[in-house]
Amino acid sequence: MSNFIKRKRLFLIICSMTIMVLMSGCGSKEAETSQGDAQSSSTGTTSEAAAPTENTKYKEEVVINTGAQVTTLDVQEVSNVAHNRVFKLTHDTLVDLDIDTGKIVPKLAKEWEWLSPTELQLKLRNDVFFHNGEELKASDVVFTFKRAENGKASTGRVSNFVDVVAVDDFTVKITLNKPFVDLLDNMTIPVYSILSEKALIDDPNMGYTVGTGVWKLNEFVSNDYVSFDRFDKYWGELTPTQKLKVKYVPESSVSVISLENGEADLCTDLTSSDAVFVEKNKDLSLVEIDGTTCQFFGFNASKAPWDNKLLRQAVAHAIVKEDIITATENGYGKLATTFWGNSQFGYYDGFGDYEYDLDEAKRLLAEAGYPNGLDLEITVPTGYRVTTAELLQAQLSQIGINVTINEVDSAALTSITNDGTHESFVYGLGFNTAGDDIRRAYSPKSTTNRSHYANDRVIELIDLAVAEFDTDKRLADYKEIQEIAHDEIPVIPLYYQTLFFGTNKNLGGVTWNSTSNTDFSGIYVIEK
Amino acid sequence: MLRYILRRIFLMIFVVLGVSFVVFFVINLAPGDVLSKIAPEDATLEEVEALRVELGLDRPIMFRYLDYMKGFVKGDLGKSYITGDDVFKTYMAKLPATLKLAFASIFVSILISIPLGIMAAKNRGSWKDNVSMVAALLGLSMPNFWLGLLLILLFSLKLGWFPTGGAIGFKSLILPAITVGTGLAALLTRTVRSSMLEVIRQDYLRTARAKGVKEKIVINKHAFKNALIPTITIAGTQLTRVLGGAVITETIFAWPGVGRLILDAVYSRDVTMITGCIILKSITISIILLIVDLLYAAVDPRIRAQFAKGGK
Repeated sequence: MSNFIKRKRLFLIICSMTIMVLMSGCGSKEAETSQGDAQSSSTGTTSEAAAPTENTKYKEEVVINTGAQVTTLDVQEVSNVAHNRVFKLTHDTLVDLDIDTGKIVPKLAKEWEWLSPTELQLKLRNDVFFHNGEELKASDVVFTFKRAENGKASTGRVSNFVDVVAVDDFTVKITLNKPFVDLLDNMTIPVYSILSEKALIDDPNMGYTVGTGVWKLNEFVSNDYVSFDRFDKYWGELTPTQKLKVKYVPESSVSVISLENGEADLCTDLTSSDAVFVEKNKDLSLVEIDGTTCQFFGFNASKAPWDNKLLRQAVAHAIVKEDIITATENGYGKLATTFWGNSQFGYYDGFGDYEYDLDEAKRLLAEAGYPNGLDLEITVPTGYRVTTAELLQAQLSQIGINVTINEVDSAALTSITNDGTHESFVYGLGFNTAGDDIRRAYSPKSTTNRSHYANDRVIELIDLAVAEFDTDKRLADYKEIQEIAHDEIPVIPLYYQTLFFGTNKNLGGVTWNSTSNTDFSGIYVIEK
Repeated sequence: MLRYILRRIFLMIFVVLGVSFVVFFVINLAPGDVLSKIAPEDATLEEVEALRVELGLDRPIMFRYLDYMKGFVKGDLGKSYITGDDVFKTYMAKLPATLKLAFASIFVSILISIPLGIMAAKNRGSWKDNVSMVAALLGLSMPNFWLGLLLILLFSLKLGWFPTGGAIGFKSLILPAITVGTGLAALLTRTVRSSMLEVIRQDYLRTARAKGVKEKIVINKHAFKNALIPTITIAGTQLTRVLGGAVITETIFAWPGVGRLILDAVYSRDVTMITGCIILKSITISIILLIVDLLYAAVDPRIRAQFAKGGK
């Protein structure tokens, strides 16, 4: 018996010690990192480390961790945030966007002119070389836009191009089928990057990796990493960094740990909870960007009973957006009052928000014919947005709306919303700076108009605005669209998501972009 | 023996057919398709439909399956809808990483479980036995993602001994192998212990001891060899599990293996990639199971005799 008791005690001691060791592993990180100072930057700025001096030494290779996969290096095949960041390293567009002023600035094209509302002429720089040593010529631009007709991501982007001709070696003329004011704005997106005709003729399988950017491809392992060497014949300013690696690290917390132990110099797309660890570490900097992705709660406006705007207005009066931001994003995020990009042309928030008023919500429900409330299914993709759906479930129960949550993955959500079998959904939409990008939200033909909202006047205004060269008139058109959307509320905008990046505190040369296409091409890290 | 191997290879054809049929249909019947990932964000509904027709995704599932299998018979597993890469080449490019992790994990698991299992069996009922079993229970209870993160915190962040992830060099293999291996060791330790306990009671061991054979030789040579069969069975099964199931560990350690490849393909509904990978995985697993069965014969003369008679 006494042996049994001794053994039992021994087990307890061993178990306790094991748990203590494990617990100390968890706790020590918190204690160690809590002494650091928070450092953060805001939207649209270029990050600068301590001012370099003559004797400054730079890290030879910089490593960026990304949470999203890179599946191709062909700029015309995919256009999304993760890929665009990589495309900006190897390729250049004809024009660029000044993040601070919002103006279009020269890049491969040094100047341009609208010859008529449908004809744009661009003059190219004459000191630009591709990674294969070929000089950039107007024929490369013509070739690029011709090839774009068959690219998965680019085909829609050039569908309004009637003709692209080389006027001379360094002059290109683009003719459109109808006026399109946003063309230059759109042409800042990497899907319009210029490719080398010779590289693609020599190697049709991989020639698209040859661009005019600061970084030349070294190795690409799909879904793993992409590595680059600096292209010393780059026409613009060169970074002191010799090599660059973009690594796919799917687990955000591991990405932060690799930043903490110096394996990586920059982590993209951190969650708000992981951002806290970066903020507390004195050797790291946290960069917060006011993102332009609007998180929203949308209805299927083409299907009863949610085709009734009174019901949608009732819901809008019963939602507390601040609580949703707190629960879903730990309080980070900017409240949205209009379904429009906050850095997009035409943004107008003067109509305010629906006031939180449960009595008014109940009155609207009764007026819509549902005095005792009704059932509502919210379709939501797996992940942080489920929290938003749960908050909505709790908030709407107060006005008698019985919410059930249908959690699916994002591929299933796309299919369900395209088929129009959903009642409502929680999702996000990232807006570009071009005003016409709103077509994606409200055009009945758009795959991202998941509300199936159709309003003839809205479409008329979108078409008018994109053909209008008078800025004031365009702004008036876009304001009217937002007024209509505010009243009919097919989508309740919730908040603009904050983007978090963790960096080595000695990192510089990055241009943080609120449209998510942050530019890493000038990146460097000063060695301690 | 040869007849047995040929029969197993013949059965493999039906396994592949069954697996491909189930996977192809399940993935196609799940809501969502690959177009949600490859169509550009600004695509119109018409453009998406045109893309669907271009990829042949508008055709009935049965026709698409038959087309796929026609290609398979010719040795063509198709191309990924997402990357356009050849499925077979992509799988083979990722397989070495998975094999490395699988064998390293099994090695770690054997390294832990055999001494621990033998020690527990030799000292049945003592504190050594109980400690071994508690350790096995802990290993079994700890989820891989938790253990993986703890190991990263300790060995990468605090001590700086190993990298947090990736597959660059031997050092990057150690933490993922320990993560997977610890979980596997738990079950293997219990198996080694129980099979050793069965063997230890046998008369021939008593005879060996009576003849003056040293205890070390009695245990390590005479007892352990006969306790190996169930151990090989479990280790073989675990190997097949790791070959397809180390998804969580591969994700945490950014290990570029087959598990993560399949998981990413499932999320993007890349049907050709999923079906091709699962077919190749089932072939790999069938081969491993066959090797395990053949190993029985190597360690057990009774099974060898059965093969010789053309039995089984």
